[in-house]
Amino acid sequence: MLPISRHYLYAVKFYLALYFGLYAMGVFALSNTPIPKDHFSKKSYAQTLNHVASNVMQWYGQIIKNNTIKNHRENYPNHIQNIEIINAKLITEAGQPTTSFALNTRLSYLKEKTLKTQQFNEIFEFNLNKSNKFTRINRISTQDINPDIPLSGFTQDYYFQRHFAYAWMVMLDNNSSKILSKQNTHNANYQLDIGVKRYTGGLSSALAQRNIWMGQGEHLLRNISSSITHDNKIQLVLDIDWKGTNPKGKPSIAKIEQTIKLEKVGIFYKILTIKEQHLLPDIAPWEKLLC
Amino acid sequence: MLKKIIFITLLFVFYTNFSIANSAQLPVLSGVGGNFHATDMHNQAMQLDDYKGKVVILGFGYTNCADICPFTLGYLKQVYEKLPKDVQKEVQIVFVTIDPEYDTIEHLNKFISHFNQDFIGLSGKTKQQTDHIVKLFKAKYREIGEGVPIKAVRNVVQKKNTQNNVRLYDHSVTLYLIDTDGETRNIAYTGTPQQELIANITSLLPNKNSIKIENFKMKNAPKNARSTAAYGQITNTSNRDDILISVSSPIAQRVELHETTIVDGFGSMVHKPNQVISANQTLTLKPMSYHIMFMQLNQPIDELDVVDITLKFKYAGNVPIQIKLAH
Repeated sequence: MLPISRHYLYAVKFYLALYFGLYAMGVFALSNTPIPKDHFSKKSYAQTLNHVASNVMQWYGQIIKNNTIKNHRENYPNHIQNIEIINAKLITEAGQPTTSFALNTRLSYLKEKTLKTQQFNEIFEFNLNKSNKFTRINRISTQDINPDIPLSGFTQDYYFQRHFAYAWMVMLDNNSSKILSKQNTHNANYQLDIGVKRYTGGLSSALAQRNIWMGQGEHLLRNISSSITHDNKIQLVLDIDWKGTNPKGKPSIAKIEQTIKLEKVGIFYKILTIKEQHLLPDIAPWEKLLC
Repeated sequence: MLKKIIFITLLFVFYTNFSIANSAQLPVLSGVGGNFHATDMHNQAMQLDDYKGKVVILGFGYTNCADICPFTLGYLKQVYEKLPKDVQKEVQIVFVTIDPEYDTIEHLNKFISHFNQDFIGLSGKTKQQTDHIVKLFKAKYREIGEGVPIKAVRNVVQKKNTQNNVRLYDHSVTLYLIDTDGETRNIAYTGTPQQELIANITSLLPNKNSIKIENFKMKNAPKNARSTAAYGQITNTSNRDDILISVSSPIAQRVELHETTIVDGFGSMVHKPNQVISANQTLTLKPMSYHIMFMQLNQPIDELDVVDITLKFKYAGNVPIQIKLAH
């Protein structure tokens, strides 16, 4: 009897450990991947966000260390050093032509050689039927603050890279470039890996092939990480969620990782290479568990 | 008392729902899985595409696994046995070994058959091919022990061999739910409630009773006509769109779904292959609209008593229609 009882005890220990391990992983994984409630219910959520965010990222990039931009610049102090986005919310109303992007930011600037910080609540208004550019900025509040740690890292490059990334999402959504110019994409080499399928070629042909394999859908940027390569180029790693319909008409999702190597040429980023692979989508907290 | 504790613990683990699966609309997981070549436990070369037409549940493991593999296969055995017999024929449980060196075809056969004779064990035969299959499904495994005495391993099935030491592994616990087209549609594991997995399997199977046929009749055609038409209503009673791929009948050389359209006062017939019939919608076939067109009749229509027609649907499969003719 004794060995059998011990066997049961081992089993109990194993399943309890498995359960609590999975539970902890579940809590952790879910807390790390907040998905807006309406993300998958509104077809145009990601596409709208990509347009709007691309525009606002470009705007923030433009006003950092630049006092001479026309229109709306008067809403901000001069000599901006860093802008940190604390919170962002896309507000769309069914049937309304306008879209709003509400941002809560902290902004540091130099005044009489002293670094000061302000917290802003502002809303960018868009009419995407007419233009990709925001039409108005509504300042809700401005408040002087004294952060414990000075803002750093939220520079012009930080925002221009994000402008590029969201513009790239727009391009992938539409399979055409409205925001990225040919200067950005000329001679770019694209390596596409989707399961057993691999395609290597120029950007246009790779996007066409990608369209054939993936079908129609929308891209939601989850994370951007940036680094400088040994040959002094910029490397962006983009984590993207994709949702759409595959060529057979089936609903389809993808977790995409794109590694994009860029070269800064004047005021724009030139794409040198793109490597794309499709990973296991984050649909279950236990999916990375090894036993 | 101990049995009760185990039972309650297992019940708790099983019915805790970690999954966000929605069986009504399981999305294809882009880039996860795909066709691969392997050798099955009957020593036959195979590829995953051989199972197209069936729903496949695929998992990774190895025969010396003392914990999750027997547990997973036991779970799959329970799920499989809860499926109706006719559904079982349309489902294939596949277990891919991550230790092809130890798991010989013969041993794999013995191990898998211990759980269910219908399950299939696969081996990539080489580490390179095994790694390829594992990578294809974004799964992982790693060696955690080498030279472990075989006596220390709790085996489901003992292998007849001279090896005294074996390797142990950690590996993904994920089960991949693959649809009849070979596309990965969802993932599960032993904690997925059995009813949820069964519902997901069922949602991927062709719904053979979803098409309702009503009021079918033949067009009144002259005795020597070389062609004729049939009309009626085709209703898709399921909650998903279906596609009428083709139409056939022994009475004519060519049978097609056509639509008559009027342009500038002139009628023209257009062949409508792959006609979508939306969920819970009826396609009405009538004169000057949709109809089944019979061309190059094999014999005069007035010599026939019945006309047999087969509608081939993507999900509902073949749907027969029989029209009795009154002369």
